[in-house]
Amino acid sequence: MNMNLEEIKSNYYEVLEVEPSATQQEIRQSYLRLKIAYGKDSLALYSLIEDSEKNDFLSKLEIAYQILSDENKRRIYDQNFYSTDKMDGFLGQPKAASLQKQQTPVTSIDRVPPMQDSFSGEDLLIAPSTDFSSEKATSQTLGIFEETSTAATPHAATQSIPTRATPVLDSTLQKLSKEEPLPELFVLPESWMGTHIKEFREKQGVSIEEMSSFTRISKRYLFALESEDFEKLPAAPFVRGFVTQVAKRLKLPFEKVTTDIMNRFSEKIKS
Amino acid sequence: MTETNSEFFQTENDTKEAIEDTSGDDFLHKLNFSAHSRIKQIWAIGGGKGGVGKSLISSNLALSLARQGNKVIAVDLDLGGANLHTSLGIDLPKVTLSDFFSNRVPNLNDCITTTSIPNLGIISGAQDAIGITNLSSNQKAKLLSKVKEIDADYLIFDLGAGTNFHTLDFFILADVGIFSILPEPTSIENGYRFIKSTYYRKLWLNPRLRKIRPLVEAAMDPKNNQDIKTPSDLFKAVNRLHPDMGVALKEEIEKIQPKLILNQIRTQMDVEIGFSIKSVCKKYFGIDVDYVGYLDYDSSVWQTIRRKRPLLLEFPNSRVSTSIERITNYILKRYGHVKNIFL
Repeated sequence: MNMNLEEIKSNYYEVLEVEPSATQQEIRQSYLRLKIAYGKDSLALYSLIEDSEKNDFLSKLEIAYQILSDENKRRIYDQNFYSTDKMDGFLGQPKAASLQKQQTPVTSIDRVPPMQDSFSGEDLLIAPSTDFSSEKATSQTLGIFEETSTAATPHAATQSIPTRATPVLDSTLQKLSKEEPLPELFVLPESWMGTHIKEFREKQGVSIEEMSSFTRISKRYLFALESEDFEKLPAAPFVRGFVTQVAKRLKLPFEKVTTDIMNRFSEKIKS
Repeated sequence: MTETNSEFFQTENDTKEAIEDTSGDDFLHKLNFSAHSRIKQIWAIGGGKGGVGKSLISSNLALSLARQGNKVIAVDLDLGGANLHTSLGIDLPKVTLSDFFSNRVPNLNDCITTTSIPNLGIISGAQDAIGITNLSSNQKAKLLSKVKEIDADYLIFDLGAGTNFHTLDFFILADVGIFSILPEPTSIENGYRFIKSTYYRKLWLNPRLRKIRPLVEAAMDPKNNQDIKTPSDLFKAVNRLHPDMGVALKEEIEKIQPKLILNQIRTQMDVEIGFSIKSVCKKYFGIDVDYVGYLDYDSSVWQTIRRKRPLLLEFPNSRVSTSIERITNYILKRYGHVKNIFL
């Protein structure tokens, strides 16, 4: 399961049935309306929606509202998962890059929404002409997370990177945006833990400050992540985004890393 | 509930027949004509359950359109239960669809009975011929092909209850499909059943989706062995088995845009049910239902039925009358066609 697709898919704006530009008042109104629609004894569900589906939706609604009703959380969410100016369709290909670079454009169809549950196992997102097993395809599809793919063409790189990075970060950029894969002498662990991230970060000579500046994740969170001090971290969707970003920066197999660490995260939180 | 069950089983049997029924292919061609000849527009009013106000809405929408200067023909397609003429306050027409089917009149235009209301005509359903409800595929095809010859700006189809394929096909054929629901579990259940049936039927009929017909057929049978229980399951199955068809299916699903009228509203909570249905349909079916309006519960309605007079004429200032006019204007503005001024 591709965790990134999974994340992008759980679009809180869609859950709340509002536009990404919606005001707080619109969000609240829509939330209240949906609470009624999916509430106890709602006639509109009769014979079509089962209780389990209803409850699933209600919990999603609560999470979505919790995030979007808080300006700070909403901003982080927008930056990490939902960027209207950068994304062309739901699968999030940077518009300019996709036009310039892709020889075979990814046909992105978002989804036919019916009742799918973003926390369930199956992926509804499909991109028929894309082979997700190849690294290139992944970087195309997940362009929002991956500036390194644009670094292949220097022109594109100079266009896109300054919007994110400050001059101080030049050295980091070079370190992080090389096209080379992870050196083979690095032995990958079977199951990823926070300490492994630290280990690989240090092996590649990236300081926590550099990582923080580049990913825009606060140092506090990065420390907490590496030391698996999960209680200091925000809600799961954010953590998932953090792990993915960090792992991709470090050229780690980010799907595996994210899955493993999120499993540890949810276990710890539950206990 | 007996009625509900029998409808349900009939649907399942019909599904099998339709699958074996190759005349569906001919029907497809006829489906497209409304897209090409925009001179007249068909509005169909269905709803799955009896007594939800289909005839009331049909007759008054027709009246409202006619009073705005449009040439309107109301067609009673509740074959076997036709009483649109009564809602419009006219006696049983001498010529009905029975005569058309039995070739006693060659042309559908000859079936039109004029009314005392300017611009409004009616084609009555087959009132007397026993067994006429069981239209053959040929008869249906004949009717559908001749409908386009009717001289009018708007055709209003008053559909029967239930989800038999004739009813579904008339609804699918229409440019504007309106379903009426009451805020009651029985009506909502049948309303969803109606939407579900038209939804799958429309996908099944679509020539673009021919390749995935077997999957749509599976979805139509709730006990299918492919574990397709919801439209979402169908979509997943299509993407798994025919990844190239995913986009087409999505696009075709998005074209399904029924309009909802909630009838017999008593409280503000009832009004909200319309929005909830809209949201639920989006989640479950992936379709955009347009909640075009609601009608208050109003005792003037049964009085007009007793008096056999159209509501809009008998109580023009009642809330229901103004609501119907508002709904008409909304649909006209949003979905209505531009009259061909050269004709």
